[in-house]
Order: sequence, then C-alpha cells, then structure tokens
Amino acid sequence: MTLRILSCGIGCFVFDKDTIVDRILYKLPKDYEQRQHYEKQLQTKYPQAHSSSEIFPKRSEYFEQFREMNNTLTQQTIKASVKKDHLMIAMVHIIEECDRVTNIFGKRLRDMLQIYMPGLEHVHNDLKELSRLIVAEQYVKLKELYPSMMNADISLHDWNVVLNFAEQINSLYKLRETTLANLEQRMMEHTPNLCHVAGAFLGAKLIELAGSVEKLAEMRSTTIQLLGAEKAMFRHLTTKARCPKHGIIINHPLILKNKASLHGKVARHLASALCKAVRIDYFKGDPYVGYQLKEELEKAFT
Amino acid sequence: MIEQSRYNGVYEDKKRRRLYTISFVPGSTVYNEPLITIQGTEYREWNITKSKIAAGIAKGIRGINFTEGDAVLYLGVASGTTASHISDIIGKRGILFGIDISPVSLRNLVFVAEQRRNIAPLLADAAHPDTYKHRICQCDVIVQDIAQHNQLELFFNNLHFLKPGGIGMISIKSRSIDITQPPHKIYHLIQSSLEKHLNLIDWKTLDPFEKDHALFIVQKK
Repeated sequence: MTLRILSCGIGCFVFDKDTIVDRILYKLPKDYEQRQHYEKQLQTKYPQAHSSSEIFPKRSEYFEQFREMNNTLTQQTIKASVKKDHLMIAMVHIIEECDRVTNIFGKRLRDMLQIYMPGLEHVHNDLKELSRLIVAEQYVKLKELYPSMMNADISLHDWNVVLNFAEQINSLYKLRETTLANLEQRMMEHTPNLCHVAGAFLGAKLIELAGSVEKLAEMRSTTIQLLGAEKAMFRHLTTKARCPKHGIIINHPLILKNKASLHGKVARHLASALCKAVRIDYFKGDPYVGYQLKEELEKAFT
Repeated sequence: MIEQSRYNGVYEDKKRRRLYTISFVPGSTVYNEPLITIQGTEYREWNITKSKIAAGIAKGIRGINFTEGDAVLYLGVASGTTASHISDIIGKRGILFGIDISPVSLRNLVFVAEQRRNIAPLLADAAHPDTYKHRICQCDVIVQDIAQHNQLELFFNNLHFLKPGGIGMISIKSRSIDITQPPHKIYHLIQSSLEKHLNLIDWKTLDPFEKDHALFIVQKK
C-alpha cells in the first residue's frame, strides 16, 4: 500500500492510489500558509507515506471547497492590487474629458450667443474668458460693454438659459484646474523626478499609456520615446513608411519649441532622461535627480 | 426554431444562425445577451462575434466537447462572457477555473461567480503556473484565449494541468505573435509546434467573426 501525501489549497490529503485515506481540510485560505504544520501531522500519522507534489485530481465532492477558497483569495488579492497609480490615471482621464466636454459645450454656447449677443461672441476667441464674463456681468451691462446693432432684446428669463449653460462650462474649467493642481501635488509625492522632467500632466499621461509606474519603469527609453505612436510604429513595421521619432512626448516644451530638424535628437535625449527619472522614482531613490536631468536637457537644447 | 446542434450542450437556430446554451441561472444575463424561453426552458444567446469558441462552433470546427460535470481551466477568462456559456454546459457538477491577470476584468467575474456556483475566479499570471497550481485540480478541458507574443508557450506551461486524453482549445491571435508575418504562415508554425507533442484534432480560422484569429483543438496523448 503506497501512500502519498498531497497538499493543495483546500487541505492536506493522504492518497492510496486513487482513494483518499485521510485528510485535513482547511477552513480559511490562509491555512494553506501553515501547510507544513499540517503536512507534518499527517506524516507522523502515516510514517510510510511520501509527500507528493502532483496536482490534485479531479474530485467533484471537493469542487465546492475549491470554489470557496478561490473566491475568497481572489477578492483579497484584487483588493490588494489597488494602487496610487490608478488614481493618477483617472485624473488624467478627468482632465481630458473636461477638455472634450468644454469643447462640445463651447460650440453650443457660441451658437446661442451668435443669435442673442453677437457683439460679445465676436470679440472673445477664448471660451474660458467668454463663459467667465457671462457669469460675472449682468445681462444689461454686457450689452453695454459689447454693443452691436445685432444684439437681440430678450427677457432676463430667457437669458438665464445662456447663463446656466455658461455656469456649467465655468465649473468644468474649475474642475480641470483643481484636478491638474491635485495631480501635480500627487505626482510630486509619488514620482517627483518624472514630474520635474516631464511635467505633471505629461508624466501622468506616460503612466497611463504604460499602465502603471512599474510598467513604465521596466520600459526601455526607446519605448518611452514612442509611447502613443503605436499606429505609426506598426505602419513603419509593415509598410515602407519611415520610423516615428516621438509619441506623446512631442507635447513636451523642449520638443515643441525646437525646430523640426532637432525633434528626433531632442526626443531621444528626453526619453533617456525620462527613463532614468522614472526608474529612480520607482525604486525610491533620490527625489532631486529630476532637477539635474532637466537642467542638463535645457542646457543642451535651448 | 431552436434545436440541439451537433455539439453537446449547444443549441442553434439554423435559420437565423444563432447559438444558444441553456441558462444555468434562469432570469439573469451576464453581458446583456438576449434570453429566450421556450416550453419552460430558458436559452441564452451565445454571441458569435464576442466569443472565440462560439465562432469556432459556427465555423463547424471538430473536437469542441464540453460535458456536464467537466473541470475546465480557462486561461484569459476576462469578464467571463465565454466562461458563462461553458458554465451553462458543464452545469452544477462541473467547475470552471477562470484565470486572468487583470483585476479590472476579473472584478466582473467575481460578481458573475456569486450567481454561478460553478465558476472559481483566480487572479494570477498564466506564465507562472506554480503560483496557482495548489488552487486548481486536474482538468478535463483547457481553454486559452490570451493574446500575447508567447501564447503557445503559455499553453505548454499549463499543459500538466490537463488529464491524459483531455482537450485543449487554443485561440491564436496571429498579430500578437508577429505583426509582420501573414497569418497563415503563423498558423502553420503553430500547427507544427502542436503536432510534435499533441494530437491536433482540428483548426480553423475565425473569419469573418474574428479577424486574423484561429482556433486550434488538440488532445493530450
């Protein structure tokens, strides 16, 4: 009679070929962590048994145990997987959504203003300023400040429709501002070097494209250089199109402000600096290296 | 008219070209799929464009066989759209171990598993089977739907969980393996790799339901 001791997540079992001779069933998933204790118990009870590392055979009477154990353990690990990165990525999304929605609302506001107060609408190209004015000044005062023979005469009751709309747009701009300030603060706490070199928004965008700070830290600098240019990269790989020089990092002021012939060089050096910055941040190194890296870049490229 | 198809547990409406499974939890949907009740039996429509296995069935692939009471290992279960139909077929005596690396999709599966008592969700990396080998038992079927560069290697790393004579269903996304190669070249490479260690029962490309995908059905010797 060859006995084997099989240990798995639901308990310790003593098998004789295909039949279970004895077992200790765990009540909680964390009992598995003390499995050596239980294995020893069974080993002393059945000294001739040898321990086996094979997979637990299919036995439908234990399916319920497997299910319970996995359910509990999975929920615990999912809870533990929540990190700060998620919040920063969500804030980037909020800022981008604010931009998109204010754009759409802005068009609608301008449509209405072109009908009711074209004198005002014509003067201001900036939506932020426009909506701020509508909320700040009275209807009559606005008509005085921006006179035009085409300004319509409507009741205050009707003007309130435009006013309410402008108030919402204003609050969206405020939301964007506060979220960006919040994001900057968190980036300075969580990834200070990346924040110094890339700026808060671009840094958070890089984290979003990578998926997490850990994944960004694992990337090569050439990958960081092309984050966001995947479409162009695949086109280059599959057709005779040229290789992209930069992805989302094109939005960095060092690249934007330089002439096009320097873009490739700046992108390469910037990506290399970003790579260093993120790695130092992820492995909890010196939070002031970012200043140094930025200085070197600015010296070389401005 | 819903009739039994030639696949166990799968029903079809030949005229409208739709597939169905009998609902394990009548009255509830997992992904807003249509429910039809005929003579007291509730059928859930199995969306052919959302599920690789369903696409394979629609294309007539040989070898797909889920039996009541099966133990299924599903690598890359995501939110559980395909897994819910497999759960319908294997019934209350079966178990489906759903492994996924992403907590975002697995959260949905946890809620699905609360209703369907034959699904066990696992947050784990299929590339490291040692991290979950104590949490599963030997399985009758392994289903894999992981679009990664090393997807075949992942399957071979998990093959020891399959019983001898067990079936493997691997969905291959050719663009994930090599975006520069034409798909049929990649499928032939996969075919020769699989035939070295396993019996290849059948394979089919999943066009027009899934672009540049193929489903391979193998049997462990």
